[in-house]
Amino acid sequence: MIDPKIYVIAGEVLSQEVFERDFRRIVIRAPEIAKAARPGQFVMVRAKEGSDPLLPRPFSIFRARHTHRDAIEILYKVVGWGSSLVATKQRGDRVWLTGPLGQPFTVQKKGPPMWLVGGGYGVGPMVFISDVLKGSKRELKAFVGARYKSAVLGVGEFKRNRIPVFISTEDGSMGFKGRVTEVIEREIVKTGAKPVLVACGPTPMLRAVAELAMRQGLTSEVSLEETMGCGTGVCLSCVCDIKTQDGGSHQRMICRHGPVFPGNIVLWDKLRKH
Amino acid sequence: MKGRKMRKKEGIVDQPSFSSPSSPSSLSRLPELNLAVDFAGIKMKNPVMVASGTFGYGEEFMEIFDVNQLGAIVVKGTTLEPRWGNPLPRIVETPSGMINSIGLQNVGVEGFIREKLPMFKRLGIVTPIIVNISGHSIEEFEEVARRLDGAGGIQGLELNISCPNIAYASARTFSHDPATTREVTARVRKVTRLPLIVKLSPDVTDIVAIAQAAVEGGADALAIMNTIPGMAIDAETRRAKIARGVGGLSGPAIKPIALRLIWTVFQAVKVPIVGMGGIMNGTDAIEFFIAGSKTVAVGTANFVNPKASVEVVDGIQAYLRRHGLNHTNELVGSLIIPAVTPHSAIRIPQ
Repeated sequence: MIDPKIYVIAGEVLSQEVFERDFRRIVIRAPEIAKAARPGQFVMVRAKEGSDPLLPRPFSIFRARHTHRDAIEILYKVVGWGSSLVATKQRGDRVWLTGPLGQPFTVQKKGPPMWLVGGGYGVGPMVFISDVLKGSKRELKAFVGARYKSAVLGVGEFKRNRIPVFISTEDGSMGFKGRVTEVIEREIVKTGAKPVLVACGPTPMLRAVAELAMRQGLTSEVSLEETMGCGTGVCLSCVCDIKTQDGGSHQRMICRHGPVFPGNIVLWDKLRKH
Repeated sequence: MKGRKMRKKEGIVDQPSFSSPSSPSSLSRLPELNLAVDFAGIKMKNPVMVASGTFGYGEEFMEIFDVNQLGAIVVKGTTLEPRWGNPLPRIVETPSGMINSIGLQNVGVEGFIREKLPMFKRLGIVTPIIVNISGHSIEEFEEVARRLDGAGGIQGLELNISCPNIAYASARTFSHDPATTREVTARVRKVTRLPLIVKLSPDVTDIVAIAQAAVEGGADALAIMNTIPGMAIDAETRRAKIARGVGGLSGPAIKPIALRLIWTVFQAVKVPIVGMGGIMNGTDAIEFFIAGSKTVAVGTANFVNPKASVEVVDGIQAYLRRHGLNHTNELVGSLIIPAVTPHSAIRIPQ
């Protein structure tokens, strides 16, 4: 039998608060999950017993073992019924978690510079990476992209981990005016660096990062998103097409074989447009 | 046609035996009842299976718990050729349920034999494996069954006859028609000696006719029931919420329909039934035994709680103990309908 690596547990809410603007942060005590969690992984969450809503909802793990050795943190926005129920949970309440799920980002203490690219609450796993690599010899930079100033998140977290942050907004209301990939490209030219690019955020941003990496001969990893049913790889609802070595493609489950994939093997045109 | 009173009762296990060494007994934990059942020739350690399409091939959930605790695993529907499945979105949540239109994505029968059969051995999955097979023609069902029969390592086949039959222009399914049900079952029966379970659709006028046809064709057991065709619509955009429009409804919402169909068929046929449709916990499972199921399958609940299936086994144990019963066989078909069941026919549980 395989050693169990995924846990199904009732976690205790330690805190629930506004993080920045309409983003919220919930901290949940779940020792086995917190211990095993790695950046890029997620949990399936049920905030309520019973059959309505029936299905759990996926939430990225923002941080683990940070405020609390036994706790994970989730950064989220209320976008539907599932997330609105999570927002009602208070300290002492229970939430049911399955996790940690999915393939994490490749995070090693030694290696080439690693540039963390976050869009919207995609910054969450990027902050997690910076927590893990804090104090290591690895050179890190963070690139936070958003449409406008009020969508810029997580800058303070990177700064607290002593990582230089480059902010860009499409409307220029904060930082560089333009796309985050323009800032990255500029920085590559300026420094001559050959970084690994890792990205989490809206799909067009992921695609732009992956294509930039291919142009520049760099490695990239991206975290894909899709509507999920089970989160464990058995319902087959969250498929994406991934290139195979023989030039063809095969289907992978975003929940089980991802959500992190090398950027150069994703068939971007075949992804569902939300 | 044999009615409920004339059904032969299965042997009841009189002495509870103690459970495996992996669950040490203590003052707070009573020894577990032996729930072993023989279901159509498949020897199961308990009457709980997991339904096709909800448990992958067992390897996924082996990372969460020991799947050998289950009575059997019914793996994802297998077709002759590999299938990509439908465009996204493939699922939508509905009140107390969900609709799916996955499109039978699977590795195909050769892929199953080549990759999945050795995987069971490698991972130490030794509980009975039942392979669900789907086809769009009788020849396809026949060929898949023939190849699986020869492959070894499989303890049963489940025929998913709710597939559209391409021989019909209007895409009627095999399960709609007693004649095609009988024929596909008989043709598969000829090519395999494996226990054969025929999975019925609820979307029919007369399920007894379909059930009898499957039995006449040689079914060893019936699975009741498959999902129910359904649809969800986004009012703002006027779009169906899943790409293919229509899908199969599952989950707690369909349990009343399943219970009624099982009760109806139980009274009409002699072969055992595996009951499924919205089982979320032990109490739900007990209802299915009472309605006439010999065994049960847990499906959609696996998406909600990966451990649902083993919690169902635990819930059954707790119920039996609370009611002073030794085995689920004592419950099968024991339904009392207040206005109908004659007083003399009610066997009061001990």
